[in-house]
Amino acid sequence: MSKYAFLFIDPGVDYQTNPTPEQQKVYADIFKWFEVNGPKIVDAGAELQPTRTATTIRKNTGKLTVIDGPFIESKESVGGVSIVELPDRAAAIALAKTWPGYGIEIREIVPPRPRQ
Amino acid sequence: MPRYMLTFISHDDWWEKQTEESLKTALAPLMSWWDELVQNGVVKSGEELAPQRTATTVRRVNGSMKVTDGPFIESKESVGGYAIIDVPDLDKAIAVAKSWPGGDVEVRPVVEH
Amino acid sequence: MRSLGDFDVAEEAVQDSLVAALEHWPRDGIPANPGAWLMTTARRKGIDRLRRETRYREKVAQLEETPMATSSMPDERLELIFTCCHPALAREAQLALTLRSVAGLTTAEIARAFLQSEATIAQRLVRAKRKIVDAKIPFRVPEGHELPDRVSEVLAVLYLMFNEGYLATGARGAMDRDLASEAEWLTSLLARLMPDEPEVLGLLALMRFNLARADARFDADGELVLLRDQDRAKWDRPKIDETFLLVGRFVRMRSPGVYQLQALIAGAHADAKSWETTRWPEILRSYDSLLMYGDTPVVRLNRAIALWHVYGPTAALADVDALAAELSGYHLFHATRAELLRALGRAADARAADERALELTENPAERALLARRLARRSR
Repeated sequence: MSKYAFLFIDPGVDYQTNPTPEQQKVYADIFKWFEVNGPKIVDAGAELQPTRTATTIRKNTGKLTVIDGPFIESKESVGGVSIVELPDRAAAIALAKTWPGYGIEIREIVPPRPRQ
Repeated sequence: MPRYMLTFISHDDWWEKQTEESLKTALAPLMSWWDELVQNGVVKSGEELAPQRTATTVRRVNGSMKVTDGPFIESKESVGGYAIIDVPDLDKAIAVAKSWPGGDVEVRPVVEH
Repeated sequence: MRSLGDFDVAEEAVQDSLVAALEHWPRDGIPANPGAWLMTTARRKGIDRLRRETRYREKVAQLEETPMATSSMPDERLELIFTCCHPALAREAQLALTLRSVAGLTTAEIARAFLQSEATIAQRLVRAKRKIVDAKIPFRVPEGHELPDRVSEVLAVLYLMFNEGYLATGARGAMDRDLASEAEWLTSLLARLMPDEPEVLGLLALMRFNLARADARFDADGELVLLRDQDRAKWDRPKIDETFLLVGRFVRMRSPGVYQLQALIAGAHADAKSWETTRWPEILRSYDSLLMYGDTPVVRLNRAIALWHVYGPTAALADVDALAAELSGYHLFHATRAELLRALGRAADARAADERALELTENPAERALLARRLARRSR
């Protein structure tokens, strides 16, 4: 068994603000998906507010700068993260395909590194 | 208290340049930071993620889910890891993000149900 | 009532506030301190009216002398300023929010000031307020250790606002004094609320030295006049003298910074009887100090002008030419080169530089000045 991070991708939909009936249905289906797959989800993680609420701390100039906005501007963005535990990558992909939302990026978790 | 997600930004360039030794030196302060903030209850959970080139993306195209190799977005900057923190307001969240000894950090509020 | 001189104006202002209250309160909820809200709004609307009268300056000075209303009213203007200028908001949002919430400008006034549509500004304000709520930007004055960065952020917003008004690019005209005056009013408010912050005093002094020259910046034909050629009799001497008191205050705090240094430079100019008798070595030293806070091409360019008057045009031109890679798209780079080339007797090269400067200048008054210069020289 291995742990995988599911980065839930959405195409810039704000479920919190005036969702359409279709969006509301998707949102409801997502809730059901979490219920149905509960046993496979070791950490429900978090759902994130839209990227317009993001703030990024940059260090490239040597000085810490606080900037309005996400670290990358794009049509698609991460809307939440959960951790699942499954036998292998194929199983993770199979589960991700059942997601009622827009998409998922699957990544392996790096196990905690040894402390010196 | 409200929760925020800190997304730790990773640069492929940086990882490519590291040796085993330089990596140990660079990562040590990150581990200390992590342990300290978990201990004082600020960091609730989080993970380091395997590099973006190892990702698989599943995406809805014309109604059905399509599988592609790689991350959902092509970019030199990617999600290297995340932490969910519990702090009173954005100023505190920014202060925690600033204290991260690594690179850039995105701060975003969590939806509470 | 005792804070506004004209009774009629005061009464009208309070009436307007009551109307505004009836509009806002059902939508936004009754503020924690309704009496204070009314007084603040009344004062603001009172100021709006007075602005249009000739004795505006006197009235503003009076208002500045008088502390705000009663002890039962907490002065939350500092919290408001820091929240409006929070670094998690985009610069444009900070500007619009500060003008709307602290300075009390209407959406229409802000739109006119920035040559944008009212809808754009309205949307910008809504988005900014949503971010404040959704991301939980706290309504507070930052704590001690956070203060330096946060004060810098506020000053950056006010400085940008002032420059927008003072050197306005775009079609609205050579200088929008209201926006510059608004910035000065806000900075002066900040100085009263934070009297021990030297950089706030520095920025205020810088703005006031600039504003003191306002009447000399344009000639009888409405053409822009460079500092070098200005009729110094038109400078507001009392305002300049007053501003030197401000300089004295921040100098005694012994905590230099970029705005204080720029104020010293502006002060050296304000103090000089003529361009030729200006204390150029002092100005050069201030630029050298400024470079230590941030070695940028624009600071180096301005320093070169001082260097010219201390070490001559050859040395200055060498310094300016070294900036070519970074500043080739900047009209003032070419305009400065032109002046130095002219001083060295290289007329053709100077003309070419002036032409390049003209191509790159957006400000209509600056364009007119460069065009005139080129026209004169071609005779």
